[in-house]
Amino acid sequence: MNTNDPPLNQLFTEARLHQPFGEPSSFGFETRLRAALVKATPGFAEVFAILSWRFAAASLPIALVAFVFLAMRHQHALPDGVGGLVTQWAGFLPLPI
Amino acid sequence: MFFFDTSRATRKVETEIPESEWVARAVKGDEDAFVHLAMSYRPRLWATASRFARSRPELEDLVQDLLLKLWRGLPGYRSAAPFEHWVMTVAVRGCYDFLRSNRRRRESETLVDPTERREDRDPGDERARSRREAWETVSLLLERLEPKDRLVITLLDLEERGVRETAALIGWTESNVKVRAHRARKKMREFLSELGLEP
Repeated sequence: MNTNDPPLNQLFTEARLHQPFGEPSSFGFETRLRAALVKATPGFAEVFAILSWRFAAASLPIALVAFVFLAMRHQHALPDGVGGLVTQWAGFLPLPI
Repeated sequence: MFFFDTSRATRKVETEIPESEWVARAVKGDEDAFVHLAMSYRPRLWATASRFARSRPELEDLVQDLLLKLWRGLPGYRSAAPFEHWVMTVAVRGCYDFLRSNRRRRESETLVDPTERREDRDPGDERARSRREAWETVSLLLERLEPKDRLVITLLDLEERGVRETAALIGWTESNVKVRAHRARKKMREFLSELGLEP
């Protein structure tokens, strides 16, 4: 690309033609790549971690719906703020609060 | 450690299979198909990555890393886009990640200062020496740029890609590429003056 800057243009033109590291060597390339691919394949732990994260993300709306359902069933109204929430759920605890 | 090359015996048969078939197999998780594609695209990846690496071992690691990114990203490849374009997009973004992650380390390292160049004892080809010196100077200037600026200049001015292609590879708008390139060249010009390397 012409930069409209002769000194930079000249530098780029010369630098473009220089191959600082030469050509890639094919020696051992396939062996190294295959070894890396084996390592890159996710194992059971990685697959489980991915699935569990997705499972958790998918479960969140279900958990919210369940919470709303339970709250409506027991008090026929949603708890009012954090205080109401604590009071409501404290009632289920087997403690003399 | 033994190295083997199993590809030679089957190369004649392999060349008869179109690339799209190799891609389809690789997308399904066929490792042999991916290795075949990797061998085919390696020179292009090498050429692009060589503009960002500072040594041959670093370049080999970067190319290997790009190939792994391609392998991991293959399930997400959609055949609507040309495979080569997808490969280069992943490669360019991989090179950008490489620049960002290595920036601090690179800043602490010293490069060959063109102002302190010594005369070569081995009187090699004058033309080759001129190219190498230009490359060293450009590398020094690029090292001072932000990774985004460096990426744009490398793609536009060293790889001679067009604005539209560069924008597509990086995922920016064309006007963003032009503005970035203009500012980056201005900075390079200033660095060139600071170094006293203006002709």
